[in-house]
Amino acid sequence: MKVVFQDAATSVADALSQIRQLGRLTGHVARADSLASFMNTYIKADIASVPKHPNKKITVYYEIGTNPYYSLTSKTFVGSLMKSLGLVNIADADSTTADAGYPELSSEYIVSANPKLIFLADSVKASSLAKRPGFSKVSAVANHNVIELNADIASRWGPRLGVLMYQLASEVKKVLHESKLWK
Amino acid sequence: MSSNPPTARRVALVSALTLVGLVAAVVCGLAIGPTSIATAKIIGDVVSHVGIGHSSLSPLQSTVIWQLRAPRLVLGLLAGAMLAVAGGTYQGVFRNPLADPYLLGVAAGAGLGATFAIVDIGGGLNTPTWTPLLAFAGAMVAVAFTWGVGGRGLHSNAATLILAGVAVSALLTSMQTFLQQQSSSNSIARVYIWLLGSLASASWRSVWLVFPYVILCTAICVLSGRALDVMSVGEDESRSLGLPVRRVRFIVIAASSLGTAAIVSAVGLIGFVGIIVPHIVRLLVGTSYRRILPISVVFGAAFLVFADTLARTVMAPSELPLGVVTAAIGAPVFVIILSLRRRMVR
Repeated sequence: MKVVFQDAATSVADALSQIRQLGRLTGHVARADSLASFMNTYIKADIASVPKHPNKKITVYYEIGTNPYYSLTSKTFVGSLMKSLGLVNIADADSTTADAGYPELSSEYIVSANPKLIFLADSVKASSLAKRPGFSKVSAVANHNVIELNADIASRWGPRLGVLMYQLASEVKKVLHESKLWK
Repeated sequence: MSSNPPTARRVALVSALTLVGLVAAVVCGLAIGPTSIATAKIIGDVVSHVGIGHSSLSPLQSTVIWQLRAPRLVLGLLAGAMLAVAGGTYQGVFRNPLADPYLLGVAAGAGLGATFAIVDIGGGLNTPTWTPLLAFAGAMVAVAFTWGVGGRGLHSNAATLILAGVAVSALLTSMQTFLQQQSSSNSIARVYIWLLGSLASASWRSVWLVFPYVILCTAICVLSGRALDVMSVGEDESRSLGLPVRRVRFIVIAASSLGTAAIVSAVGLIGFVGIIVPHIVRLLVGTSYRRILPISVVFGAAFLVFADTLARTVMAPSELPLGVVTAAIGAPVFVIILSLRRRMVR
């Protein structure tokens, strides 16, 4: 029996490469190439659809676990997607080699960082954040920029990656167009 | 422990130093954290709340102080005070230096209740809401069960109750382990974090929920000091001196257990405070519970707030489990004081 190990992808290119490799191994080269090309085009279009915003710093908190709070940095796969959209990840400042890109953050750290955008990837309801101590004053919560992601899609780098990227890009564009955030 | 009773001057000195420590702990608890906020600004903000001067804190900094650090500080004070005085009371009522607030099954019962809520085998439970409720219920049921098993309530004696507590704890712990074994690795991790104790989820709501229990139970424990001093000569001797031993034991154990259950439901299982603080205080002020218990209240409150300040800053912005810090600080301090005390006695 031949065993193939695919490590966690760390970038879009990595994910597409793994899809092509699976196609070769299962005898579906053309379909895998087609899928990867389609995803690549789709994702690039999403990235291009977000205007460059060097003067608008969009800080983001991506929650993957609660009690305690866990997030991810730009070194991870999802983190790299957010970085490609020009987001500033609040978890990056806290990253150490020990956490492998998935640091634990205290509530005080998150509130002080005051992210403009929050993504929830752990089946947590957006409405529950305002009930957490101190969170009601956080920009993303006060301005209703807390987005519930489909935990299944957000945790995998399969063919539905484009769906996740589309949602991330849409939310970034929405935040960029909120004039009250940039006065 | 001490060959000579401590002088009144020494007791006053220890009391004063403990109060100074409490004030220092409160200042540290408010001023130190992952976010750097000048202490002078914090003091100015606190003073502005009583109408003196103006606060120079930003709205976000004010949120950090009043919505995150302050409730955490108050809950830490309440938890430290309750666990320390409950530990001292248990040591007195059972005349056992190894007694702690979890002796009669509070920890095992609360652990089972919390695990039930976190694992949520049937689904449908709102874990954050149900965890403290089931932990509290589990703790109280465990103590009631121990009381029932340990010699039919008022007719029990101390040794029987301790043995019943050991048996009930073992039974409930086995049930908790079974539940964990049936759950996912994610749930096991969350149960484990809860078992190590933390003040990270402190809020004003949790403070107000435990406040009446802690105030009432701490007062009962402190006021029982004279009775515990009498009981230290033995049960039969206490009875011959006119002390209603069984009634006193029931009231004291009920108060200690109720207060501990309330605290455990809010902060999880924080070990070592209940056993180490009364012993340290005993080494400093002698064996009378009229001195040990009130000083333990203040010492325990200060100790836990200092420990929590370390827990949330050493590896900031992530946090160390509070139970790890209390043991890491408490054990060496206790050994040092014990060693110094032995030299003084010689």
